[in-house]
Amino acid sequence: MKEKLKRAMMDAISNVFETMFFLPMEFSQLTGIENFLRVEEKGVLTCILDFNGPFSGKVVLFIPAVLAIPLTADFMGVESDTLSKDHVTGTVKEIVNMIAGSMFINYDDKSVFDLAIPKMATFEKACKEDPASKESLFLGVKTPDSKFALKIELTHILSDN
Amino acid sequence: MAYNILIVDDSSPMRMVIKKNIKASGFKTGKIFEAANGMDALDIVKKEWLDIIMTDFNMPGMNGLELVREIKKIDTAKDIPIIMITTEGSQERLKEFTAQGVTDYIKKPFVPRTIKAKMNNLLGESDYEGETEESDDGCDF
Repeated sequence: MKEKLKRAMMDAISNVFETMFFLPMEFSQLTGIENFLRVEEKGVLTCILDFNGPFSGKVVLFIPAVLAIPLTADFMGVESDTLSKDHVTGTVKEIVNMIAGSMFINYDDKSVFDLAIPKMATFEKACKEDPASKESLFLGVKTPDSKFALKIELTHILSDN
Repeated sequence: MAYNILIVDDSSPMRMVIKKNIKASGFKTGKIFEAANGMDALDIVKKEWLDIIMTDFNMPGMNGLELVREIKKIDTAKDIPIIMITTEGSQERLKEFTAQGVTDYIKKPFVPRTIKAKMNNLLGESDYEGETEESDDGCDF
């Protein structure tokens, strides 16, 4: 299940960033957020999306503002200096939403996964593992000028697909 | 003929992207209305003449499907074609959309020509390019 989900996650990230952002990327072999993004790093935006389905949990995106801002500008077709905070967080939430939706279709398009509304969170909260977490997956992604990461925590597993 | 379009999405960047793609497609548009939630959308639906409604599914408060159900209760609006724009594309979910009266859907992420193709298909324009849902080529966002 874990490997299948990781594959689905990688395909979803590629699909979202290539289709809507035209951003080349490569996946990192490093595991763990602390190894990938410096914990003391300022300006990392974090967004959490809870989901429920054959298994439940959360998807967490860590993306530096220095990457999120130009991505938002390109996405909206405007200059970076015209963006508001809501534009940037709105785009980050949309990225998480699209990755999660695409990932679950890739994983199993016959099962329904209910996605909650994505929420911005503090870096500390996003890093903290849920006590109910049974499994977690981490994926680091390098872009030409920056990097971002995605984490999935599974808190409830109804069936072993 | 120019068509009036309502875009419903809680994400302002996504509304802007959809609007940008509609305009870039060369589709003949009249007024393009925007709503950030289902209640605001219903206000517009009740007041304005609309030819097509494009709504997100995953929104706080009233989700896209709940909005569709409300629109179907309005006599003057129940026949307006509705496109659901969604990240949730499981077979069961898509069946649910159809059963509730959604005319067509677009899965996010999407390429620009998907929007034009879907709109042309719904409004009877002649240059419909066929199913483009999974297409990922030829996009110039």
